[in-house]
Amino acid sequence: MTTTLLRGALAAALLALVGPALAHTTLEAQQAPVASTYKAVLRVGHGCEGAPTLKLRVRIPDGVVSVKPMPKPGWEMETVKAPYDRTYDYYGTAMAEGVREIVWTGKLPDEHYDEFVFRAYLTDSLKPDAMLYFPVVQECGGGKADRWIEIPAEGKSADDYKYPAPGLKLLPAKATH
Amino acid sequence: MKRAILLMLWLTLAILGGGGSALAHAALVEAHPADGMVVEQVPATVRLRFNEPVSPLTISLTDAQGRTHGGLAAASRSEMLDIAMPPDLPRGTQILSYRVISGDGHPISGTVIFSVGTPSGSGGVPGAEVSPAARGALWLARVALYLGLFAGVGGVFFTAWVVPSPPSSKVARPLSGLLALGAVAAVLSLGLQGLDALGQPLSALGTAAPWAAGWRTSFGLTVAAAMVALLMARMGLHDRGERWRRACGLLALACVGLSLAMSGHASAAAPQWLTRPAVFLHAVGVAYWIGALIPLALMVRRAPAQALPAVRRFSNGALVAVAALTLAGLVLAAVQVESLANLTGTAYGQVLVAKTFLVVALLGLAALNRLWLTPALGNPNGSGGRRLVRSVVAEIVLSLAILGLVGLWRFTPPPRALEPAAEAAAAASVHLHTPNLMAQVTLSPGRPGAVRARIVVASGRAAPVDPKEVTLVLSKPDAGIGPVERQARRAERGWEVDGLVLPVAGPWQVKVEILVNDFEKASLEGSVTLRP
Repeated sequence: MTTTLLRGALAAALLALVGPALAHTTLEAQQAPVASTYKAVLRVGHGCEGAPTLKLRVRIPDGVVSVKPMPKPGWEMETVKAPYDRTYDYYGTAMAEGVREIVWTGKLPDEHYDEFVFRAYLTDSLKPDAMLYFPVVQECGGGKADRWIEIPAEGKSADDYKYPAPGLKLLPAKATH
Repeated sequence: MKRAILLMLWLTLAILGGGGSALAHAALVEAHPADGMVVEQVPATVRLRFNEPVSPLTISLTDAQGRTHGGLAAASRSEMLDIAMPPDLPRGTQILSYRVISGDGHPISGTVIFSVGTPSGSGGVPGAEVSPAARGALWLARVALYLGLFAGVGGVFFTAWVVPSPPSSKVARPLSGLLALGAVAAVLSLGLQGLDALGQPLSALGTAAPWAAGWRTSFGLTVAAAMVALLMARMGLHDRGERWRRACGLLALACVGLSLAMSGHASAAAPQWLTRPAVFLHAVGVAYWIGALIPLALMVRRAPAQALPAVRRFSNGALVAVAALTLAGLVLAAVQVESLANLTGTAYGQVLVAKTFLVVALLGLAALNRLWLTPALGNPNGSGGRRLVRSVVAEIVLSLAILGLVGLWRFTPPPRALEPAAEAAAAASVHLHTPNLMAQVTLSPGRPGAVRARIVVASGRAAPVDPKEVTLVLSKPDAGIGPVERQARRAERGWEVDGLVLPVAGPWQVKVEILVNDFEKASLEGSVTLRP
């Protein structure tokens, strides 16, 4: 009896924890140190109002360089390259341009879940203890679109928004080796 | 001579290049604090927003104790005018009067009345009306300038291009008189325009201020181009070489078109790519036609038979000119008047109707000349010459009457400019902004019931932006009314939401969500009050 109750409570707590994450498009690892390579896993839990997802577009924010998306069977992948807002140091190499947008094209029915992966370097120009957002546009059948692009204003959190952009908390850089 | 012409050409080009930013007739769109509003504290500034960029001419504030504050600091930033308020304003009703000038060179004035604490009586509304004498002088100068440009410059064009030989002194003398009249009128109307802009009496013409003010309005460009036209025509009138006469005549005619396209209600209307060339064509057509009348009458009276080839040539060109000016005139009328009801309902429309009657009569005379009187000129025994002269003189009189009527338009704002002002008066609006974006939300009418919302989005520096989507969210938490969310549709000016119903008066929370591009969305919030 107690175990069932406990299990129920645990399940409820778990549900409460992951509940919003299931509904929204989010990042799996929601914190990472600056001056490190970050593996982003975008979790797409549903389509747009029941319509299947046909395209997923990710905007790479300033200060994130050397972006490499992971190919995905059944999905066509495309990157949009453009100049960065400034040059960034990537292990001693000055980088002035690179991937600013990743586009996956394929089909994900509303009742299925999928993950989209890319790897990126978080330069040390990013401020630790701040949030970093990767705006995502989810384009679906019937011309519908969910835009996960809302960046919380000062004093607000992602919970205050209907379509918050997936974000991660930046941590101080690890001690240099 | 050649250098003079090159200089003229350069001047013309310089004027052309400088005149690109004229805008439509200004109207006050919003005041903050709004007209009639009661505020708790003395505002640091009063912000006036017009439908286009303006510059302040005079600003005066009469406070609740009847004191008048002059010399208030006014900062204009495109269509916004921020007027710093004196900090020691007493409680009660304050009257702020403004006179500003917009891109089309027309001053507009108005008053915003707001109260600090509670409304009270006040020391009277200061007026900034121009005296009838100054207006009469302005009208006269305007008509004289038209005469110089159309009859004078047009006449020189006629003598250079339509008549095979150089003009006799009998023809040249009245033409150079008209050119001189036009030059005097051009200079004078600059000062008079300034008087009108500043709202000063005729006696102030002796001071420098009205002249400088007149020059700063878009009318300054008109006067400059008119002077170039008159000078070129004067040079062309007396030059011996046929080629120079023709070059001067053609350039002068083009400058007449430019001059009128530089300022005025019609040139200021949107879309500019249409109205400016239309004004240009209209003016050139008018100058061709009216300019020919005086030399024609003189030539036919002297030797009817010899004048026949010139009359024929003019008549053929006139077909093209009349077609062009009629078409251009119709386009401009359509832009300015907007609806048939405005033809009789506004002063501008009434002038247009009267002008149309006269123009139809003039066209009738022209047709009579072309179809019957000109062929009769060939008959050596007939009295065709005398009849044609009489008919042309009638045309001249009619043209004078038309120019007199057109001069009246200087004082009647066109219906297209009246409407936004009336709409703004009845609407409730709020200005929202973030550092990067601003939005003006206007609910009209500004009362509970069915309401139409208009949203104009601009960048933080008031540059236009072109968002992908705009969504309006209205809510009234104190009345338990949750967010009413509507996607706006793109309209001619900004974005619109139709069919909103806002049931109660009082303050409403407004949120405008702007999808700047695929990945960027901005949310602007504020509140707007519906009058009961």
